[in-house]
Amino acid sequence: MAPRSPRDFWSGLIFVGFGLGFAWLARDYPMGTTRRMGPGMFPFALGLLLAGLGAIVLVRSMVTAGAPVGRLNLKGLLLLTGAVLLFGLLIEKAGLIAAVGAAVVVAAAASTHFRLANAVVSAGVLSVFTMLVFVYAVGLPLKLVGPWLRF
Amino acid sequence: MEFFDNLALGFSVALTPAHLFYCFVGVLLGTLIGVLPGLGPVAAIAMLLPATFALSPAASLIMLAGIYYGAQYGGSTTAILINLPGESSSVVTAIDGYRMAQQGRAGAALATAALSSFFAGTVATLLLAMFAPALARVALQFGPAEYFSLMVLGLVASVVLANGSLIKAIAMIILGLLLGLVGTDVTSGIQRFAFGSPNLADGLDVVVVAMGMFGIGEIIRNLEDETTRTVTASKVGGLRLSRDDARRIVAPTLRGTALGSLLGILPGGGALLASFAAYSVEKKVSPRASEFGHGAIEGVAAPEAANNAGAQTSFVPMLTLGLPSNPVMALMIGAMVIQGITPGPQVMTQQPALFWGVIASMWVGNLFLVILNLPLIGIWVRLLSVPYHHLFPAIVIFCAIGVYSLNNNPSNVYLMASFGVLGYGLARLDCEPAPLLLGFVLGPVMEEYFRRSMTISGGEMMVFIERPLSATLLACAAITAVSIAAPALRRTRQRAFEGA
Repeated sequence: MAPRSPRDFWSGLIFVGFGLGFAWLARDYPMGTTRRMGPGMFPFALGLLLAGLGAIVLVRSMVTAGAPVGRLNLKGLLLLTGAVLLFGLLIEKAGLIAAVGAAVVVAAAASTHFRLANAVVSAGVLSVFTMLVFVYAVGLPLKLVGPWLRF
Repeated sequence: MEFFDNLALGFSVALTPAHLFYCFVGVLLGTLIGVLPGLGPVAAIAMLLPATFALSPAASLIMLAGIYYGAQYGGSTTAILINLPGESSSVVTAIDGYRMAQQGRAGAALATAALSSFFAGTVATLLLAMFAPALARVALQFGPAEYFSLMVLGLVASVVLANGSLIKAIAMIILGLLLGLVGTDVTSGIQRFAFGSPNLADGLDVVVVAMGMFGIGEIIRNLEDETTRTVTASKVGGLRLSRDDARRIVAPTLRGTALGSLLGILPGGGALLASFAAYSVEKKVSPRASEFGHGAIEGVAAPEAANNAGAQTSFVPMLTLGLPSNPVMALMIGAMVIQGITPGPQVMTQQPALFWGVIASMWVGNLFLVILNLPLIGIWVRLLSVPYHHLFPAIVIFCAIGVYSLNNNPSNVYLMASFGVLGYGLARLDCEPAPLLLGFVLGPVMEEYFRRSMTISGGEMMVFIERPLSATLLACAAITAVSIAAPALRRTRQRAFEGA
């Protein structure tokens, strides 16, 4: 049977997954008694509650019609998370300037208005800007140039 | 009199040069954020939170509050000038405000928005000063059972604002509560859901969750549809109101202020609901109902007064009960915790200077907004036309630097990316991120109150129903849940969200 409301179907599935996952992990922590609740009890109960609500949403998705999920913005999803991950990878090893530059170019590529030349210019501008604001003005302890780029 | 003493104390704090400066910076940044397309106050406050760690608690809260109501203000400017509400609470302002702008009366609309907001802000500040102490005194009598029930009510009420299905919004709250439990359990010292990672031992940071879902997730969503907006801002024209205009905005401003103040105090109320309610009330009672939608000045004055009053009074539950009524307040609670202050009724008695200073600063901030913005309108108009594709890479960078600087650890950057994916995915499935963030902030607190109630009652669940106050709060929560689900209200809600 195909779900009549795909958005409800998938969100229900996600809730059931998270709920059961949390409840399953919570079994490993002491439950305690109701008088002296252990660290496992509250998350275990909440996890089951979440899974229950997810199940209701799932069942409803089979009955009530709803909008289709539609096309996901996969390009944006990949490039933006990629940009953030790249920043995380580079910030300590290559330093702020390289991390900002690389992340800006990758992120900018997610736009339909992307031009490499423009992106390189904004990467340069933002590198200088973040350097001035975050390192010199705010005084964050960020390395401008990391060990990878020192010779 | 106590009331005046409190206000005097507040102004003595708010008017120190340093606090004036941070208030000014806050409203300026807020206006900027409100004006810039696609950058909301939640992401913006999350970005700036790490920068406030070094400030004193009062300075940091004054600045963050300034960003919040400054953003409301900037949002109305874009609503009027280019029919693009910068904030959801100025959606209704766009209806008549933009029409006025098209008729060459943008200046009058902007002046109306500024003046009615300022009036509403003044009244709301006074109301805050009057009612907050009473509420805090009541709250001091609360036991853990009452607190738990109050938070249930607050969370249920907050889904009034969630667009879409009630069950999904409640599921998002619970997911948030669970995510809030990640990290070391205070009572037992056991690490929960940390997968042995030292990075998760202290729990997830609210900034990471907020930036991931409201910053990165939002950007991915905005990039789905990149139709180039042709931004042709209307000519502003004269800012002066004619005598007729001035007469016409008095009553709507008063009504909007009253409605906004009331809805703002209610948990889950806030600025958005207030502006919608004020517009529809005005449309019903106005003798010029037929002009609404065609540039009625009343249609600008009432919702603008309401959203500003609502924004201001939504601080009441946050400051007195530690209860966030919207994601911005959730972040404010996060900011207080980081500053070492436990939000709740004791803040007012233990930190009166902070409490009253923040309240007084709101009035000062509103004054700044009027003085600043009417003359500076030209600059804001120019900023309006910054294309989104130039803006979003900068937002990504600021978010990344912000979370990295939380503890100079790249793992927070990776976590933010995961929450971006989660936020985008859930938003695409009609699950809004706001209830999740509220749950996230309240998760550990609610567990603690629940545990304590159970210990006191000797493990008896009935304690929540046997104590009259707690039972009343839970009953209110049940009534709220049922009434949201009721078909009539659901239709009205839907119309409100689609309507404007």
